Amino acid sequence: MELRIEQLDFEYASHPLFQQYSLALQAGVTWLRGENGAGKTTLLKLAGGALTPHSGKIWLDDIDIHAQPLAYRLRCYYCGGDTPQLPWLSVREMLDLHIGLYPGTDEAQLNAQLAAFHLMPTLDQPVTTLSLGQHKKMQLALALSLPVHLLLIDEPFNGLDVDAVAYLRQQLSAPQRLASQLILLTSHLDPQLPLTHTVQL
Amino acid sequence: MKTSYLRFRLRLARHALLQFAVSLRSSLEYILLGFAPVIFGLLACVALPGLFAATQPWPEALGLFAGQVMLASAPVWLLRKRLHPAAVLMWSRTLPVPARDKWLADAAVAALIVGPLTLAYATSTAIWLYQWPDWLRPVAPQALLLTAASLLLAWLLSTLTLAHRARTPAAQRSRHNRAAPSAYQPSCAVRNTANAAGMVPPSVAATASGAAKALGEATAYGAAGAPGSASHASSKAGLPYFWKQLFWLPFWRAENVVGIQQTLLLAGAIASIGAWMWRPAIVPPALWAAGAALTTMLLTDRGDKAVAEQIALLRPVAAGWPLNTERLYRLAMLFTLLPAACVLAWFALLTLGRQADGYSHTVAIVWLCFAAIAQIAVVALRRLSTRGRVGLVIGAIIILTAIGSELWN
Repeated sequence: MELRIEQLDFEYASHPLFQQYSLALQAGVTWLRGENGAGKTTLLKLAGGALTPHSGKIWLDDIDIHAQPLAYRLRCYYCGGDTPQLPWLSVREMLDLHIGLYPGTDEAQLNAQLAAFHLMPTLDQPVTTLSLGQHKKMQLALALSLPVHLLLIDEPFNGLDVDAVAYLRQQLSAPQRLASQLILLTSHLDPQLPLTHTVQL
Repeated sequence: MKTSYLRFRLRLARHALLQFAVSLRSSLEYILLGFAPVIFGLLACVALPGLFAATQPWPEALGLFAGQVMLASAPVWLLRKRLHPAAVLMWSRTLPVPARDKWLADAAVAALIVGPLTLAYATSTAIWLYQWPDWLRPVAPQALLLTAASLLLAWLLSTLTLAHRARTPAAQRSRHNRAAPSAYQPSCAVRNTANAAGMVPPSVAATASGAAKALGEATAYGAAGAPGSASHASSKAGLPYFWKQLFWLPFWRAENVVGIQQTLLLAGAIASIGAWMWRPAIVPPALWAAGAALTTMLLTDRGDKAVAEQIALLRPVAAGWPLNTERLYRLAMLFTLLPAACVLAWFALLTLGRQADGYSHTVAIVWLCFAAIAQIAVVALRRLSTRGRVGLVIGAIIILTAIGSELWN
């Protein structure tokens, strides 16, 4: 399992972020470090297919993001953003939507994650009524359950309570997950996880 | 504090009205360019019910008076969510603003709307006084008093509407006494996909969730295997499911009024066509034909605009989804035509579906064909400039009205 980024160029209006940037990552946890505005979130979005680079190539398991965009996206999930992106949906509808998007999602595993994050009572609430931490937990419950090879997690510990942080660390350190998933996460603090790579932007 | 809160509320209201005017600009162009004489005629008559009430016995007079008050206070009721947005309400409830200042602000904002309306009423009243019809002469003072009273009451009602919206809601217990869900089960629409992918049955899932309640308990993999190990299903939830979640639900939820707007336009178009075919004596059929053309064209135009805005909102969110979003967006655009298709089917049923009763089948067919082409053009010609689109819609309304006016000849 490998994520390969080659000669990536990307810039916001008059603000170049990546020029001929290359990166190769294998299964396990990669910590993406950098100061505010360094491009951590942008790199996650580029790797997830949510942003299109000006030039360069991105492969996941030899699947080219441009040649096979749907097959690529089916293998990765971007977990980020602190505000609900689809504010008209309830938590249950949000989960349904992702199960519809990612066939093969394990219902039992999703239930286990929802229970562990204490999200069951919120299932019928609109996503806009969730607190910052609950919203993060909903995204993480999905991230930990979807059958993807590449997990892109933006500031995974933001807003989480102490118990949830411990649980997330345990989940992200599980040997089976480390062997079968490539986890790219950003964090300003040391994630205290068994790291395969550390990338400084 | 008093002046700053009042200033803030007035500035907020002006900003909201400006935004509303901008959002309505293209619709107003259609209506004013195509139906300006009718609009000005209606404006001239706006004070008539209140003036006429003075000539009636009290039960009828009271009905007319109440109708006048409701009509004059309707704009503030319709615009209440814009004049005092929910986010501002939530934030401003914690401010130390005295109740008196809140009432003053609500009254001032209501006056911002009722004031210009009063000018329209004054103009209309002046026209009727200038006309000086026989029925008005003996009751002119009472009629003027009734009109002034109706406007004052409308102002009061508008102020109450805004104050009611701003009140802090009482804490409410859930009406449903059902227990909190203990397990998540996908809805039927996506459940088929889950079954196709070989997911575990809900009973097993519930057991797994129960076992995982203690934090730190590593049940996730034990119950379901490693991530990525589940076989990828070849089928996904169908596009109609995603259309419902991403294009139907948002138009009916929170403060989005697109669903209601489209329902009203659809009802207006169907009612106009019904009245056009029924031909009530008091209104010329051509007016119903114009109403049918206007509402049918606005139905598709407004629907298409709402869908275009929703697509713009979804694009950055859905860019990373494993979904052929372009196909979904095309489906959403296609579905924009459905309400108008229902209207055309209704027209076809009333004209072609029965024996001609003094009207021309040929004209009905021409009207139907032109209306269908115009609807498709509105949705298909997405790269038209705003002016071009206004021209297209107004042109279609005028031509449809002209064709419709020949239906009974």
